Amino acid sequence: MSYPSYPYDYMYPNEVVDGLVWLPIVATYMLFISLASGSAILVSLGVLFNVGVLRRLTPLLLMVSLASGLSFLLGPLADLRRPDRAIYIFIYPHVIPSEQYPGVSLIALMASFMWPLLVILLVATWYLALYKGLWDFFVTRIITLMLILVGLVLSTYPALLLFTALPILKIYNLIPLLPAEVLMESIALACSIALLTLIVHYRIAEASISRLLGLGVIVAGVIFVLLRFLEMFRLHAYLAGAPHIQIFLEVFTGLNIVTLILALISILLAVHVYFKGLKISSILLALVVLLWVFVDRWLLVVNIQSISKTLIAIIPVSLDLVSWALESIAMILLAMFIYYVLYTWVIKTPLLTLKGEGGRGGVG
Amino acid sequence: MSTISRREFIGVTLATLATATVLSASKARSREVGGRRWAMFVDITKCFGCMACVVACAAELNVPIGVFKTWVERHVLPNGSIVFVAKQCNHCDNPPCVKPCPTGATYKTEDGLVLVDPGKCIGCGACIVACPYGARFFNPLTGVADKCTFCDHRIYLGRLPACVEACPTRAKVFGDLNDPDSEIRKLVDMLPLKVLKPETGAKPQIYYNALPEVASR
Repeated sequence: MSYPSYPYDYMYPNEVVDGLVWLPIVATYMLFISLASGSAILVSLGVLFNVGVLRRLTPLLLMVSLASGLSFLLGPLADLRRPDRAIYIFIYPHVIPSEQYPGVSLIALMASFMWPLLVILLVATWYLALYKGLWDFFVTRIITLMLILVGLVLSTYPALLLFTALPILKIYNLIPLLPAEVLMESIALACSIALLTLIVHYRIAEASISRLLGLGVIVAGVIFVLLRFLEMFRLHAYLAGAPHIQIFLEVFTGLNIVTLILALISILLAVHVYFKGLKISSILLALVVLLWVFVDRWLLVVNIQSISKTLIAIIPVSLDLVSWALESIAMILLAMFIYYVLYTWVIKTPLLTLKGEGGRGGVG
Repeated sequence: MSTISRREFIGVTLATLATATVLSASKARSREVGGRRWAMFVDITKCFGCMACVVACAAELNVPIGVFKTWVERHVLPNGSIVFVAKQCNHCDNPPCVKPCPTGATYKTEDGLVLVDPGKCIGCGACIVACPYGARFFNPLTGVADKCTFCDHRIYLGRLPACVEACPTRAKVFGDLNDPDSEIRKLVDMLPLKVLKPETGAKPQIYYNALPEVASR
C-alpha cells in the first residue's frame, strides 16, 4: 500500500470522497432567499414610511416575495441526502439549547420559525394593506415593522449560515462584512427583478418607478462594491502571507473579481435606467444583477466549500451541472407558477396601486 | 434570656461557613468523579502506520470502502523523519458539529460521546461541513452522517474500542478521564500533550503525545 505524502495535497480522506457536501443547488437557494427577503424589505419600507412610489409597487413586490419565499425550500430539499425525512426539521427542530443538544441550529431556526413567519407576515400585509386598505393602521405598521426585521435576518442568512458552518470563515474571520454585502445584494436583486416584472407585464415601466428602482440598485451596488473592496484590501494588505489566507485567496479572488465587475456594470446600467428609463437597459440591468448575485452565491457556496479543512489544499470537486440546472429550473418554474396563481386567483389586484391610492384606501 | 458573646458569635459563624465550604467542595468532587468522561490518548512515537486500527474499525462497524471513521496520516518532517498520526472524531467537549444539526440527530451524551442518531438524520450535511477535523462523512449505504462512536456498543460492556484493542504497540489508550486511577488520566496529567486545532475552541478529547506541528491541523 502506498501512502500519500503529507503535507503536500494534505486533506482529510473523507473530504476527498464527499467532495462538495452542500451541492450547487444551495447557491440557487440562497439567490431565492435574497430575492424573497429583499422584496419583503422593500414592501415594508413602502408601507412603513409611506414612500409614495414604493407603496405603489406593494402588490408586485408582495407577489414576488411570496412566490420566491414559497418556492425556495425546494433548494434544500434537492440538497438533502434523505429528502424523505425533510419534515423532521419541523417535527424535531433543534432550537432550544440543552446539555445534550448544545447551541441552536440556524437551519432549524430558519425553517421552522423564520420561513413561516415571513409567509405569515406577507399574507397579513396583503390582507391589511391591499385587501382592507388599512395602510396606516397601527397593526399594519407593527406587522410591516416585523416584516422588515424578518427580511433583514433572512437577507443575511446566507452569510450567517456560512459563518456558523464553515470553519475557515469562523476561525479566521476572513470576510466579516459578508452579512452587509448580501443584504445589499438582496436589495439590488429585488429592485431589478421588480423592474423586469413590470416590463414583462406592461412593456415599459413608468419613469418615477424606473428612477426609484434604478436608484435602489445604484445605492445597494455602490455600498456592496465599497464593502467588498475594503474586505479585499484587508485580506491582501494585512492578512496575506499565512498559508490559509493564500488558499482562501486562491479560491476567492477569481470569481470575486467577476462579481465586482458585474456589480460595477449593474451600477452603470442602473444610472442609465435612472436617467433614461429605457426598456432594453432595464432588461439588461435585471439580467446583470441576477448574474452578479448568482456568481457571488456560487463563490460562497461552491468555491469556499472546496477549501480543505486542513486549510492548505483545495478539494478536487466534480460538479453535476446537469442536475443542478434541472433543479434550479424546477425552482424557477415553481416560483413562476406560484406568482401566476397569486396574480390570477388570489391577490387579484393590479400590480401597481393607483397614484395616491396607498395613502387613502385599498383596492380590495 | 440567654445571651451570646461576640467571641461565640464569630466562632459559630466561622464553623458554619467552614462546614458549608467542605460540604459543597465534597459534593462538587463527588459529581466530578461520579460522571465519566471518555477520552483517548494517542502516542505518535509508538505508531508505525500498520493500519490495524483502520482495518479493525472498518470490520467492527461495517465502514463502507472509501470513507473512514479512523485513518492514519503519514507526515514527513523537515528533518526527513516520518511520523504516523492516527485521527478520528475527537468527541469534543464543545462540539461544533452538534450546534448546526437542525433535527438534533447529532447529540452529546452525559459522558462526553458525540453520537449520531441515524433514524433522525436528514442528510443535510451541516455537521459534516462544520466539523473542523474532517471526521464526518455521508455513509454511502444509509445516506446519513456517520462518524466514530468510540465503539459505544463495546465500551459499556467493559471492552475497549476496536481500534484501541487492535493496536499492536498500545499507541492508543482509551479510558475515563474523570477516574483518577485510570491510565489515561495519569498520562494526561504526566505528559505535555497536545490536541488538534485548539484554536477552534472545540475542546477535543483526543490527546496526542509528540504531535509534530505539521500534523496538528
